[in-house]
Amino acid sequence: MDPITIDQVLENISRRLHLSKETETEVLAEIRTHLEDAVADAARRGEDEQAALQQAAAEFGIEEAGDELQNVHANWEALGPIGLTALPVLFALILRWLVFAPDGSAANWLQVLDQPVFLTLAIAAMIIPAYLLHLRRLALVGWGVFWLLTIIFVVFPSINHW
Amino acid sequence: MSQLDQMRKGSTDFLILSLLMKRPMYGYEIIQQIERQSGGYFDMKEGLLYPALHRMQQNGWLSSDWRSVDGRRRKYYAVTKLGEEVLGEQAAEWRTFLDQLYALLGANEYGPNNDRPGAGEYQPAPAPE
Amino acid sequence: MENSVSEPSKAIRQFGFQDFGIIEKILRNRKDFFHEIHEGIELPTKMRAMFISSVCFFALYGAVMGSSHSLWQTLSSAVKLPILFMATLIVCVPSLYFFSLLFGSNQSLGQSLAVILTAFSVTSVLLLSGAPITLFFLLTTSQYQFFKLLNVAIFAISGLMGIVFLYQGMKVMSGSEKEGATTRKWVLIFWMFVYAFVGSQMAWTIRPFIGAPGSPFELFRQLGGNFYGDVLRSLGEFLGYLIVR
Repeated sequence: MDPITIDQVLENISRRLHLSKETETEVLAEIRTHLEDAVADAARRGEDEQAALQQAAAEFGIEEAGDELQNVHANWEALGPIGLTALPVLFALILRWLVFAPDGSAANWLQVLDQPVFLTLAIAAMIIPAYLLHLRRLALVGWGVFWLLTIIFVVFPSINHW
Repeated sequence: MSQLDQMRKGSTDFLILSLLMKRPMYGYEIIQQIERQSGGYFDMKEGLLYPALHRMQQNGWLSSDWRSVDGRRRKYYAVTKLGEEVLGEQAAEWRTFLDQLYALLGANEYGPNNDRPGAGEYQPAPAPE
Repeated sequence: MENSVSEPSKAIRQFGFQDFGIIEKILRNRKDFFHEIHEGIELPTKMRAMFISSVCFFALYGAVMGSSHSLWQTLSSAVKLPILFMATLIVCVPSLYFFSLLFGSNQSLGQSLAVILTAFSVTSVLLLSGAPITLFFLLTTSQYQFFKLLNVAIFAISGLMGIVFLYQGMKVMSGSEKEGATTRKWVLIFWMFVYAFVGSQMAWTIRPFIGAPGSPFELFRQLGGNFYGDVLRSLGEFLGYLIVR
């Protein structure tokens, strides 16, 4: 059998994965430590390291493992980008139709901050992504976008025609 | 996949959760412990351990973090509160399943005290306190 | 101790957000996704997830379109846009199924539906990605004809990408069915034109989605005219506006 390296084994698994770079890097890092531990154990027992790696790779089941890992991870990665796109749009629509006046005028800061709907939205903009969905980075970005939209609506009267 | 492999696969989550209740472990350690404590009976396919661990983490049954121990970085898994509840439920289900199975076998020709192959004494384990 | 990549919570499953994750699977691993449809693996689950995510994305984009007019237009467009696509699906799927069957395909109706829903999912997520752009122009321009044409362009691009996806999917799924493959390919191309034509006429029939400025809210307008004439008219007005200015 041709000699193999851990990098080659990981490359074979990587070919079966279609995930974000971040997730794929973490998954492969974990598998790397597994293979390194298997080889280290074999070396402690006095076995040949190359043979141990070949056996570890065979026992790991590259195809099956790659497919199963893809199935487990694939669904979850879409939520971040979808949330990042949809939430600011949703906030803009809710701000426009529930917070501001029917003619689109934004009133002044104090009136806006006084409205319970606005405060509820502001809190929801942070809590829903951060604590419910555990998407903390999205929560920060969404919170920032929410306030940016509010500033735009309040400060720039030219937008009020909307 | 043989029938026995199917049965083993069905017990994967339960085995992993049970093991991790003792202390947090990393993937390779989990495989070694399962094999050692079962005397090689549960010889889990290593590549299927990690999808199971990641799935249980997504379900909220396990938490994980990277730790540096003896200069090696490894991802350790621990059971969460939700995982403990799930383990309790699964343990109860397994107990009921085995009790019912052997109660049925007892009334059948494959029950204990019988000459047919596979028959033998079975004592259900006492429920944990 | 370092924490690993963030863990989605039980709440995601509780509120059904995991259905949106189907998009990831479709876009990143389309070949395997179509193979699974071909094998009939978890078809109802896939179709449900695609249906839910498409409806939500269409509704959000419809709401953005309708926001150019009034609250009622916002709400009505949010409801009408998903209906537009689902009605187009209902009208067109039998023809795809029976023509494919006639020329040797062994796909079930469920599989044909799943493949078309895949195309819709792609169209809907592209519309979702265009929603911030539409919103930006909604905030920064008051030109009704420009806004209408912008939406037509975004729909055309998203719809085209969805159809291309459908074509690729049908190719993957009929890969093993050699008999009648060429004929089925031309049937599919013909069907794609039928789908675009039915979709645009369906949109014209259940308009308005944007609402003319200054006019009162209407749930549906009078039938008459057609989509293509209106687009040309809008283009003429917009170009005339540019030239006069």
